[in-house]
Amino acid sequence: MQIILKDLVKKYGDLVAVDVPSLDIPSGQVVGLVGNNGAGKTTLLRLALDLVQATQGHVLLGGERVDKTTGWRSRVGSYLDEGFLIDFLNPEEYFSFVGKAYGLSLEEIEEAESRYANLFTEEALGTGKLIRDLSAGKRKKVGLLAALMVKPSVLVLDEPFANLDPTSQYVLQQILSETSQETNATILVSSHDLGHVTDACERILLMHEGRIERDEFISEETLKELERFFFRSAAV
Amino acid sequence: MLIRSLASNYLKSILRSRFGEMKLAIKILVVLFVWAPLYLYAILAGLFSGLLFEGVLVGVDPAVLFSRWALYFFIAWSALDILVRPRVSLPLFSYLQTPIGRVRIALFYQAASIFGGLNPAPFLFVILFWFSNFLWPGVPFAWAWLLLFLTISAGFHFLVNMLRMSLARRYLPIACALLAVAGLAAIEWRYGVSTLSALSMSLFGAVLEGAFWPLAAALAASAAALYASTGRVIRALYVDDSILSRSRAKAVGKNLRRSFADGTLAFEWALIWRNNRPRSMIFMAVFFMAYGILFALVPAGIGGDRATFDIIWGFMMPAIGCFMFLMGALNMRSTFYDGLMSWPVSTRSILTAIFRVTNIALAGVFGLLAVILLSLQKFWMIPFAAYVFLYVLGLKYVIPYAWVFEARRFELTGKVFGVAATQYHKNWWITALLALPGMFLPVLITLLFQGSHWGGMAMAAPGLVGVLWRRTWIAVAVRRLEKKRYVVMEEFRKR
Repeated sequence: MQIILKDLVKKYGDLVAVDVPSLDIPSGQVVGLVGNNGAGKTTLLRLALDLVQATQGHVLLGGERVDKTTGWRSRVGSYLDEGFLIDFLNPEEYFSFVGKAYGLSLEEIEEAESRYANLFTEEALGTGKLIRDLSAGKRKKVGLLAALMVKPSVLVLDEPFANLDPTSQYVLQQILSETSQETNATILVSSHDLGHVTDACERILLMHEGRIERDEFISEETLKELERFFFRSAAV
Repeated sequence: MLIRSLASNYLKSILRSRFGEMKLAIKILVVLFVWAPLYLYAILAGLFSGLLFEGVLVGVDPAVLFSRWALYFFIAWSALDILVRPRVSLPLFSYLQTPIGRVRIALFYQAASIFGGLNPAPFLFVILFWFSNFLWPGVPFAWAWLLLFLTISAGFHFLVNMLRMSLARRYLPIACALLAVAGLAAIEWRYGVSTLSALSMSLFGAVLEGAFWPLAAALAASAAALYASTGRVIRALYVDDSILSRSRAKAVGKNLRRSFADGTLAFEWALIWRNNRPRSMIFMAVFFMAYGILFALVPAGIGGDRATFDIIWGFMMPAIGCFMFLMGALNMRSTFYDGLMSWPVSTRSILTAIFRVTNIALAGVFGLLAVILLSLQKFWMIPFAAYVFLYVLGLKYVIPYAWVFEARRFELTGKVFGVAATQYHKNWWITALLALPGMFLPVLITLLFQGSHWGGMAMAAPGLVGVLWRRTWIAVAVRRLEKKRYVVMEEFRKR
């Protein structure tokens, strides 16, 4: 499913949080969004999911305007932050809630749980623990699994590698690549972890002060260029 | 799916909260012993209301009586609904990342809000009243009357939902609207000039005579209210809107985000509860309010009216509670320094939030006073209450300026009692010099203009200045607070 951003602007008072004149992400592409804190990454993802209202412009998912239609919702999986989890449910109940909302059967939900068991290992499922009692990393895994479980055509993840242990980071990286190849899903991932982003994504968008400063396909030089950019920013 | 899922999640949220089972048991007991008897009482009162017309209100036509006062009922009920109805607390934000559309969630919110605990009681009464006094005796067009009643009440409900969404930001227009309605009621009661009752009568009277236009108008108005209100709820379902995002924050557990005003009150309460601030403040605020109202009104009730001096002085009393809150909020161990300063917001925003809390408190206190005066039919006192209200509303913006000159420091972890030796006072005389005229100006003016409205207006004038120049006063207080903050930090460093 293609993602198109047209004249997208989001302002908070005088502050321009996002200003993207145009962006086209074709179907099946895995795109990484990098940038410092406050660069506008999360706001851009929220705009793409119609969680905040654009000041100007719009986002098209599969040709549908996200702020005007709802059909795209059933084809999009996302996890932005733990505020969207229901913390008084246990993980299984949460998966059941999300699965039912997407029209999945109980078997499909259980199948997804076992498919992504390597991400979860044994730690959170079947213990009866509520989401609020899980560690930050495990809460993140619950959100990620719920987003992956719905077999999305577009997958939007905000900082998916943060709070995860190194093994889970590696597993997630693999899952993202496999998902893209198997289902031709378009994946949009924001992260501060340049290594994982350059490994998992084929295209990098570098955001700075709400604008996309660079839009490049991954090459051998990409990681070094990104490191140089952030090093220069730190030096300034 | 949405309804079942929300109902299931609601139940789980109760059961899995702290003391969840006890909370659920209490809720069940409340339903059994409070709501159920209340609803039963409403049903019986409605069903046997005919006895009232046979025994007490002889010769009064129930259709005319109810048609006349229906609009007042809607307004009074809406005001109660705005102020009292608990917030619909659902994890709605979790649903935004699902295929369930925003419009559906908003419409669900609208529907769920109808079933507040109190809402069914008057409707059960009205429906049974309608049955026994309209339908049973065979009043023509009885169904149209009921349909009109339900349509208008639905419209008011949607309007209330919209106002409640906007309440955190714009409470003054609502307070003004309620005061305007109270004014219309007072005019009607005191001078017999028909205002809202005439409109109500024309709507409900016409429908009983077979007219179709009131129904059409009510349907159109309710549809417009539904459209506007649903639009507001939809906007509130965006994560950068601060109204519903509080319930979203609730779902995160401890990372509770609140609006400023909400946060201010919560911090104050926490400090009082932990005995880091004197609990006596609550009792004193209530005492001052009760004392002031009694001081102004009770002798009038038992014969002869008090002098205006007494009345104004009495009406000043309830405001003292607000000033005490302001004083507490701005001292060195307060919501301001212990709590809100850690927020990533400007001092100005915090101060504005503190003022909003006091505005709400003052509006509440004087609203209550207005209701008491109306019910005692002491209409001539209302202007004096208004003068005092305007005066304290303005004075409130100036008072912090007096307080912020005082550099006072308590041990942040200590209790308030028995720590006098650790207090640090400086510049208290500036505070006294600025605060005392504020308190005694009304006394002086009312003594000079005994019993005259001119005196009241002269007193209200500085209040008006305070309100109109509030931005300036806030800016000055902010500058002073910023300076004071560094003084206190330096004191800490020395220790």
